[in-house]
Amino acid sequence: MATGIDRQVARVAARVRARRALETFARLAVLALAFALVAVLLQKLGRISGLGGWLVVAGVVPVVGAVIAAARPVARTLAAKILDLKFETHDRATSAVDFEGTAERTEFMEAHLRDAEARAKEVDPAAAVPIRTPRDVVPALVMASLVVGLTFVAFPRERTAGRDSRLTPIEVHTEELEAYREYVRDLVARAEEQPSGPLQEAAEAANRLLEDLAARQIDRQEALRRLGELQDRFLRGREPSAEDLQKALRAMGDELRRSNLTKEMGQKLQEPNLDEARAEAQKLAQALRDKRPESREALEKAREALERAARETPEDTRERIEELRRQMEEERESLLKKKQPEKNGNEDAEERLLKRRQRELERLEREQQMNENLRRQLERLRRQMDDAAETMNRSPEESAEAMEAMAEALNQLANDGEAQEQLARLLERMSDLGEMLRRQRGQGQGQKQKRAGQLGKFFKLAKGGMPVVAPGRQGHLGENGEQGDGQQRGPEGAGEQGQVLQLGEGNDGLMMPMPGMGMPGQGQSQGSEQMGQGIGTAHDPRMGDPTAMRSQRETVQVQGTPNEDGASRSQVIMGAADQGFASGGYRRVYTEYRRVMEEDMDLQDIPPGVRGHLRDYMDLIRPQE
Amino acid sequence: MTAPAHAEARVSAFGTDAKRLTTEIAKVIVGNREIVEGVFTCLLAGGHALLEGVPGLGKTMLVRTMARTMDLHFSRVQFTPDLMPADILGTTVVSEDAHGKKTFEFRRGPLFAHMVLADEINRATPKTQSALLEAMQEQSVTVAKETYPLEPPFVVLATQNPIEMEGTYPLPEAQLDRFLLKLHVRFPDSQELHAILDRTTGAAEPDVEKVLSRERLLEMRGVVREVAVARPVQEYVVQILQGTHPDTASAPEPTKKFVRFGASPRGAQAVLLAAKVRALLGGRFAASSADVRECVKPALRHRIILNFEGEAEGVTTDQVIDDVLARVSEAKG
Repeated sequence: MATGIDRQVARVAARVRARRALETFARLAVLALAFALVAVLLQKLGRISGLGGWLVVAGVVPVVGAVIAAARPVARTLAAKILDLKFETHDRATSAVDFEGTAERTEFMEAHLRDAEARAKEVDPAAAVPIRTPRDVVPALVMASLVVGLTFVAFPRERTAGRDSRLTPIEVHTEELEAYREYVRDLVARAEEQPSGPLQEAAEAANRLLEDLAARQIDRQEALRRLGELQDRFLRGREPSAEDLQKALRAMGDELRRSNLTKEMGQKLQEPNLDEARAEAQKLAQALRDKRPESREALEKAREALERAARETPEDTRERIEELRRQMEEERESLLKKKQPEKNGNEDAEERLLKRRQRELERLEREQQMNENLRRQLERLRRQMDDAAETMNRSPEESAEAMEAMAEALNQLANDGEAQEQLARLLERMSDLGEMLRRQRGQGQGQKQKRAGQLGKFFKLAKGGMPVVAPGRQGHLGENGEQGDGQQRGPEGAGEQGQVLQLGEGNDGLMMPMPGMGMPGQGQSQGSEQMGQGIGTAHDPRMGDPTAMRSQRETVQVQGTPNEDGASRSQVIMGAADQGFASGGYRRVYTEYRRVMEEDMDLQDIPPGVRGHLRDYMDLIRPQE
Repeated sequence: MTAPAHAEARVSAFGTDAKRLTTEIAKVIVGNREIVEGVFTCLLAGGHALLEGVPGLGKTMLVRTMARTMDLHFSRVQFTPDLMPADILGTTVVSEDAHGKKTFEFRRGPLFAHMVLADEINRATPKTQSALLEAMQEQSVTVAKETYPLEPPFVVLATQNPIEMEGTYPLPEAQLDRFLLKLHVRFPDSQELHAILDRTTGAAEPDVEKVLSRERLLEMRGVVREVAVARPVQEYVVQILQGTHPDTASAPEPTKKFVRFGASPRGAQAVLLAAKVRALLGGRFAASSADVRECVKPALRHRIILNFEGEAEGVTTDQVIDDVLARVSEAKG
């Protein structure tokens, strides 16, 4: 090959690649700047947080495109042709490149190569492929100006006041957050009515956190830090749960009932009704002060009863919890070991089980902590009882004072009980919130949008909105329309005669259908968007055999009387629940339902804010002893 | 002498002889340089030329002058409707010698010449036109089962009036395909007309000299075949040829719409041979895309058959070729 032509062709190829790179860079720069413009606009409108990643993409794309364009080879014949066309050399360069690769050259080919070499000096690659300013430079400059200009434009935005620009605010679904805010606001209002130290502080701290989240003034890290702080701070100060407290009080009540003097107080403790127990203690104190106890023997029995009651401790509860905690810890370790080597199809199920065990472990630890608090609080009551028992042998004045101190301890216990229950629920809700924020951390933008859509649908349904009609099975219209996907209401069922309880005041009373009644079944047929209104009678196979409904009952309408002093609807329901559904069968059924609910909360996408409601409901219907 | 130097010498001599020839012809023929070059190209490439133009444009004069400058045996046949094949090929007659013995003897027709001018070929019937087929392709004539070779160089230079004129028989496609080039003889401009009048109406008529021998002409034909063709240039020819076929994917829209049959492979051969001659006339050793582009119309215009729509629309094959050239990239090869 003629070296001169070879060199010129190589120079042309290099210039073609350079020009191609420049043009590609300019063209992609226009697109990248348009992309950046959209990103800046979205950031200004608050739709995205942080521009770093977007701008890096916008900057990298043109460079990568230019590098690829420059790296793409240029065919030598093409480069030679460019020279020939520019200088009208009658394909001297093109033919020379072709003949150079020919194994057997004729004398005419050799002569042609010599001719092309001689002419190589006459061609100029720079003139053949001039490096010009790409056409897209002007649009690119315009786009760049727009991007720069837009960065200086301030856009009005919702909820941006006071937000620290260095933070990456959390995108939380409004409805989801509102569920927490509503609950906490209500709690703050109640805590203000009855200032109770830890509950009020915790409620206000939670309220501040939620308000900051709603105003997008904190990032995820800060939110999780404050949640952790809330848990650490108030978990330590938590008092025993109502159930454990009641258990301890019943044991004390049992002992106190053995003495005529303390019998009433013991009964009230067993109910348990701490207010009345306190009143009974005060009555006893007054009687002692008035020197009314009939005999020394009665006083001795009362002292013995108080001594025995003072010795009652919730030791068994503590041991039970410790044993459970130990079992959970072992199970968790076992799951963790199993998880390492195995990577099979059951991985997800095991992962969920592990998480559930972890949560149960945390709950048990909390219970253990609560048990300590219970012991401490009951210790105080026990000391008061002990003092009261000791003073029985002394002067009635001292006995009365000791009894009044015990009454005060009971009063304190009663006041703290409800507040502690509220605090426990609040911390549980905050725990759910923390879980939601942690889940969000691993989600991409697409997942967040998908979740936002799901939540929107969920809350729409929760508010009574109509779901999209999906094909459903033909329902069993009538008595036993199965609960499921369909929306068509079944006709009036021909069930056995049942009973309806009307709870509450007057016409506002809540109608509670009881098993066995003839209510419309919830049908499955597609087509109609009418919601079923009756209770479902389908059965989840995970809950064992369905309950037999063979009872013969009659409908009773209980007419409420309007009365300002009457209980509210929620109090009535609470009262009914407190009365208990006590039976061994109910306890078994409840345990199964609770377990299935916990499993479903793990498996289904139920917003954490709603989980609290479900747990509250299950707490309300728990079996009472 | 090295191979390249030898080639350079041959090309140089080729150019010198060609220039002498064209200069000599230019003494008689005014203008029509492309026609002269076209006919010369046919001579050098071993093909035949079809000259189309109205009567009186000097077609016959050109052919006759060319034959005189090259010391070739020239014959002229005026084609008429009553001309028979035997009139041009020759015929077998009974001859008697001095002893009274009678024998069959083949009397050669005017086709037995180096350069045959078939004047107004489209005035003869197709039967007579077809008599030229074997001679043009095989360079031989067969009469009464006897084949008679034609001495090279054998070149048919046919002239024809535009086919729209009365009393003409369009040449069959098979015969048209035998012509290497079809040249359109244009009407001279005013300056050329003056020159024609000056030369032909005076007392002294211009005369020409023989500048090329028959042997030299054959030698020059050999040089033409040696001209190199790069693969990209050949690919360009292939692309053009395929562009004239309506069934190929790369054919432009006018081809698909107006063409019934595209050019045959013989057309590609014609293009490339003509391009080689042009390269030599330009003093080059390899044919170029520009040479190809210059030769495409004369080499293909008579090989493309328009369909009814094309005929009805008044589309010419030159227009079809223009579209093909506009769409085929030189750099593609």
